[in-house]
Amino acid sequence: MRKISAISVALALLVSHPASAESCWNKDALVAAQVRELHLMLMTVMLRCRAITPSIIASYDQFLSKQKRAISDAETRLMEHFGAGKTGAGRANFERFHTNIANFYGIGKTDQQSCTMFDVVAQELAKADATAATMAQIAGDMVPEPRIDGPKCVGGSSGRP
Amino acid sequence: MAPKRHGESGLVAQRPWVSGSKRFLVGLFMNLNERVARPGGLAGHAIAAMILLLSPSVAISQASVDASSATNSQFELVFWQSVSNSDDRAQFEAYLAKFPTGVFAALARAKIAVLDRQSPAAPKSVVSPAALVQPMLAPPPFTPPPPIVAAPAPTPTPAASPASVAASSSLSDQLRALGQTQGRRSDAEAVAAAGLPQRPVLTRVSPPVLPAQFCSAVERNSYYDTVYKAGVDRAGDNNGAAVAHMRLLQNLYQEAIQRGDTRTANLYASEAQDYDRVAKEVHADRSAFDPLFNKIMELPINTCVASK
Repeated sequence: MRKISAISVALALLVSHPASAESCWNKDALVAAQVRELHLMLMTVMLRCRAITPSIIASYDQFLSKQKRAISDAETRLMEHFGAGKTGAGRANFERFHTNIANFYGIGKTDQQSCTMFDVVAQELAKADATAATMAQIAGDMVPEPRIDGPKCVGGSSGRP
Repeated sequence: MAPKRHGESGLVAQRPWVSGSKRFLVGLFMNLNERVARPGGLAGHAIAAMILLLSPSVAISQASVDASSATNSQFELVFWQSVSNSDDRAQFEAYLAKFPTGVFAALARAKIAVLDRQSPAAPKSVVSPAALVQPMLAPPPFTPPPPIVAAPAPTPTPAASPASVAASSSLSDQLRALGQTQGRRSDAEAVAAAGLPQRPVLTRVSPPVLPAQFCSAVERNSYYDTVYKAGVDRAGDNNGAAVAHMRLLQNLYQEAIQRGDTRTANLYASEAQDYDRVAKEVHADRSAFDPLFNKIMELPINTCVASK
């Protein structure tokens, strides 16, 4: 009669990261990772774009000044996640986390349009009324999947008491 | 600081919306839906663009901007912002090449006219758009979807609705896309980041093997309804879904090209090339039913002896 055969659905490829010794990533830690990654992204973009869009240097400096507390808080939260002291495995993992991100963002689109848009992003984050929540929101948009190792906590539960 | 006010009469002398435009664009990042347009003090075209960004539906009617421009308005805005302060004729030509019917097209042409007047010796050669836009990798050939063959069966194959492939371009999406332009991504990451649409689920169907004869006209009609037409419908659904998927990829590809995201565009093109094989297979499935209709009608109807 008739032959019916099903074909499989092509699923989007998901990037998996190996589990690490750290506890799972809870919501706060994930947001901290997003904030830190956005910070490093802006830093590397600024370095690449400064010849094309000189205004991005001032924008970035203003962003750093305005979001200093948010960045510091994110770093503190990440140190908690990694259990990072001044030395030891936790500290090494914490440093590796940053090194990986900085290396990752070593390349990227660097043209006038992109640089101008990043300039605008930095300016937005440097605005007087820009808060840590603003930073977190934009980081969530621009870094939806932060480059973390280890599992995310199920249901956003706390990964570290 | 109050926004700069520009003359209302004529566009030639305007240098509109330099610092104000940037502030406005920055302001879009926060409370996008809560902001109210405050167009006072800005030149008409800038106002149109602002309204367009804040309320596309209003902008379409008030600023006579077509709907397609809304998709890339922010990119156009940033592009314009980056060149509007320049005295380089080529930059305005580059804007016109990328946005020939853009919100600021008239301003760009006016600016070029001013620059030409200021530098009468400057060459006014027409530069091809391809030479003006930023270098872009040539995308792989985008294979068009297979044509839909009109079905001889009573039920025609429905065409995919273009509305189903309309894409959104919220600020979050654009920020996400901007973030994706950075980093040393593997192809797998890039594919995941690009958000390739999921392929439609197809239930393949093969043409039935026809009987040698029918025992009655009723049996033939029943065969037509339950076997032939059911198969045609299913094959037609598959073909329609495949065509719709190809059109979706085509639209996504064009959007990526428009926003200058060549890498993502190439991913969509690659996916389209890969999926083209599936599309051709389901099209062949559907086409295989075409000659069966006449064959069914030509089968003899003989009185059958009950075998039970």
